[in-house]
Amino acid sequence: MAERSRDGLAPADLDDDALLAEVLARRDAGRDGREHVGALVERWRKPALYVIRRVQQSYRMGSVDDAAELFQEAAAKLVERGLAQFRGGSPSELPPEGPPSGAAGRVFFLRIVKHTAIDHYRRHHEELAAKPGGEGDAPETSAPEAAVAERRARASAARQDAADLYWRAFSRLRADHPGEADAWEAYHHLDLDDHEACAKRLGITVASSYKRISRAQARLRLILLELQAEPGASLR
Amino acid sequence: MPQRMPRPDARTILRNEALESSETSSVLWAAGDLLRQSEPLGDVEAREALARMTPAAACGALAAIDASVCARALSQALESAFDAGLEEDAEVRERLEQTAMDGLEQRDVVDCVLCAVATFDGRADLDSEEAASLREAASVLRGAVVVADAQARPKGRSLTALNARRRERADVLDDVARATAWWWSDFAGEEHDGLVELLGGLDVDAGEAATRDAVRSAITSGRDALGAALRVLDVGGPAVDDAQRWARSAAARSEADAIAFELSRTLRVEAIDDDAQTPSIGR
Repeated sequence: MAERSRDGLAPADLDDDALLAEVLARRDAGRDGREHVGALVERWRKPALYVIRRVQQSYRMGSVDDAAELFQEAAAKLVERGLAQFRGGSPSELPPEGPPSGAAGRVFFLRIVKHTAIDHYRRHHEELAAKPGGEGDAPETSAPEAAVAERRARASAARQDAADLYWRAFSRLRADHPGEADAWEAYHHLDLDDHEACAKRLGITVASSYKRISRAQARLRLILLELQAEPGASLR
Repeated sequence: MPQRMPRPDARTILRNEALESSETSSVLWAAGDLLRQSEPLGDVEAREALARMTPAAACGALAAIDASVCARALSQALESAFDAGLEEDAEVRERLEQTAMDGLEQRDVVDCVLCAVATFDGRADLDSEEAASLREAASVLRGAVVVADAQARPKGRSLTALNARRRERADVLDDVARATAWWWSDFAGEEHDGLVELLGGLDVDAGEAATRDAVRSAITSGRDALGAALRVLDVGGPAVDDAQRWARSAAARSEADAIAFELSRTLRVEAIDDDAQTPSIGR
């Protein structure tokens, strides 16, 4: 039997706004909201599958079964981590006041779908490219392999959290200490990976390059620790 | 803002005050400094000094404290402490540590003054109007330092380079004062020692918590950062330019990344309606 909302309505009776509000209310209250989340994402299945197929098309790989699995993976991410981030709010995803709308929730979920699919096929594309036989000779997936794949997916999700924090930390470093951010970017982001090249690019001495990158590293890591301590941070 | 004095002079200041040679703000600081200590050695002198003070003088001293100076001092202290942690020249490090400690002492002065005013407010001879004015002035100052603290306190790990000195200052405080004085007590345990040095790649014998923090803050690899950059491009915000530049450079190195970057630009989920036709897969 369908669990009812505070107003006594089943998920099917609620519009997107009301259903999203119910999902968030249940999450805040620590109540089981899986049925409501399931009903909500099911309404967004068609555009979600469109997004996945567009990604598959670009990478020229994937199947209908893959698409269904990626949809489920994205739904799981929404439940496990996304709702907390959505509740915390990204400026472009939340209305200036009042509760989040169903439309904002839909965009938020479709972004999760998009990045889940991109990450999946980006990784897969590189794995295939690295194999001696190239594309198309992957064996069918066995149960142990599926378990490994699941563990990899979880690890990938954790890495994404870490990467989100990383970029926020880098943004703050750039705002507060642009010289150190420039050195870090040249050395690590642009892969110069060499203090002489870095110093030449920035017009500084090699000793300054060492010093700036050491300081940038310490600052970035301090900022990461700050961000991890913020309420709602998903990485612990 | 009252001038910072070395702590051992607190009682001397109060004795001078008996001779009417000290300013109200210095008396408030010295009295608060003694009242916050775990050993009540100067309590009597502090209370006697406060008993001699007029409410108007106490209000004036509170109003003269500029909380923005305190905020700048905290910011400078955090920066100097960070610099001290990464400084390998012992003399330079010593100077930087002292600069940082001076900044923290300025924040401490405000706490001492507020502590003294709270005791002053308990005097039986205050009329209600005087008490209300005093509370209002204290409340304004307290509100301003709350803002300064909110900006500085999350960065408290930078202060670990001063831990030996901070522990000395925290150790003389009573429990309530120590809990309030985050500038002396946050991350001040030996387990946090060496954190800044460790994060900067210096070879140090760091504490357990510092080592754990170093592991937790291990910087993500470039591969994961592309995913982050693409999400930043979707959502917007101050890092967009950084993300765009970085994603472009990644795209130039790898076909898979190039496809991802192109998708991030062309596949806008906001524009997809519920009737979108599912495209076929191109293989």
